[in-house]
Amino acid sequence: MLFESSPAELERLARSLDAAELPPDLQVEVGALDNSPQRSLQPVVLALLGQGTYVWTGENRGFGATHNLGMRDAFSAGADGYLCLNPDAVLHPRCLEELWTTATLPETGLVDARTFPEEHPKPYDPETGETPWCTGTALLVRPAAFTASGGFDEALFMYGEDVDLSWRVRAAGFLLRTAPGALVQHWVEHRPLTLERELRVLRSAAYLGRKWGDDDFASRYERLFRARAGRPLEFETPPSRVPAAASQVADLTHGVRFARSRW
Amino acid sequence: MSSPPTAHVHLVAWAEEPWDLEESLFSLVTQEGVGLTVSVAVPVPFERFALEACARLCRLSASVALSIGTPPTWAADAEAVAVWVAGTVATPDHLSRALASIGTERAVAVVPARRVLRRAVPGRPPYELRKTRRYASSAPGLTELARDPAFLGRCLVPAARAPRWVPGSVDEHRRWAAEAWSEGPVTRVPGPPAVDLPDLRADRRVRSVDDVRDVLADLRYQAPRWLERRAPLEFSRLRGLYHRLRGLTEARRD
Repeated sequence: MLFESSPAELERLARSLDAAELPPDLQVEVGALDNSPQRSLQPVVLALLGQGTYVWTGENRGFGATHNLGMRDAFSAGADGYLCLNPDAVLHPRCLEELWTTATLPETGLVDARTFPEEHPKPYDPETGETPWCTGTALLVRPAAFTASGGFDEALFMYGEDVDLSWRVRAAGFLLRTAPGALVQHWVEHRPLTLERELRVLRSAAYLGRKWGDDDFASRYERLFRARAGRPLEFETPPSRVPAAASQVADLTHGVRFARSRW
Repeated sequence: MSSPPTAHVHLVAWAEEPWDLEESLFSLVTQEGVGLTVSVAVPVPFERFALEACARLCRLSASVALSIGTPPTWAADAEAVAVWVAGTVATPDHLSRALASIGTERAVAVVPARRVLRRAVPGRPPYELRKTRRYASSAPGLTELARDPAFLGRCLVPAARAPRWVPGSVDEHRRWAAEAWSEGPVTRVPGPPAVDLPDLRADRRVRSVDDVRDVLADLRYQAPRWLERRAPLEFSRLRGLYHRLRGLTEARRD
């Protein structure tokens, strides 16, 4: 998914896709979904991708809605997996193979790559790869998990949509796994925390709290949103609460990390 | 357009741990804003794997030259040199920022770092159990640094004052550093930790003032994060108050 991405960034990503070592039985098709206000990235993307596809969506739909569009197309065409991939990422040459090998383990719904050089501090089982939720930087979705969950919640524009999808996929009976050998460079720690970005995080946190049945959690982030924004938080689409049985998979006891932190 | 600054990194594998080598190489080929020569020294039985890893990863960058073996001396065009132990990883801007910190004084640049404690997992990458921040003084000396066997990974030495020989073993790293440190100033690169060093210490007990400083440095980072998770609103208020007080103190100092 692209949004006013820099050509240098896309070139880096394309180079890493070119360098990918794939098993003979895995065919990969690359598609770019561009949410930029103009089509100006089209020639850049097509020159870099070679045989890939480019779709200009015409508006900034947000992470989840854009990938839902991509997943519907891919799965209706018979794809066995769909990789949500950030344009500012660089894949290790073995990343795709490791993701796919892990995705074919029994009952697997989602697989995330290990972010590099700053690995996400959420835990995973070193033997099985099982993890409480999957990050969206490089996230492989199996078709059955998409069908069972309906994909991302499109009311979450940015931040937290991966957590929400993870919990719904788990609640539907699938396992989530991290593929520790699938490295994806995605370095964002140096980016300044702007007020706009902070407010999006707080909005998503409060939304998840309401949706997953923890009103105290939601209130904490609504109060903080009000303090930071100077206005109360209002949802365009109010979250509908998941059934109590499903909400057992949610973990809102670790703030916006949504799992125990290793560091 | 001017060409980017150049550095030579010698990467040493002390053990046959494929993922340590793979991750260090991945980190090196994704360094930004710097032309790199990387030499890779590994135990003989591990050479074939290292060759394959280099062939795999060199495709990610046009500005990195990778070769296997310990060269007799540093690359002639390198402006600065570093020695990494396999398992060391850095942020993509680490080398370019460290190079910029060397300055006209030709100071050894030392970056803030974290120790990474890992658990070996057969056939898979090591599982990272813990990352802890290390204390860094403004001009870090070898007593402070060398408690980590892989400490040279957080240092960048100007080529003009680097000993010409290329170190391999733990003892050689210490000897090489002693020669480099004796030649001039050392400076700490400002900012958050840019390098993660594998925690290869044989003894992890708190034994010295430096160890206590490390514990406090990590606590100083972790305590606010803990509060942020438990009480985000109170954390935000305290952070605002802290920044206001800091602003007042700095204004008074000016």
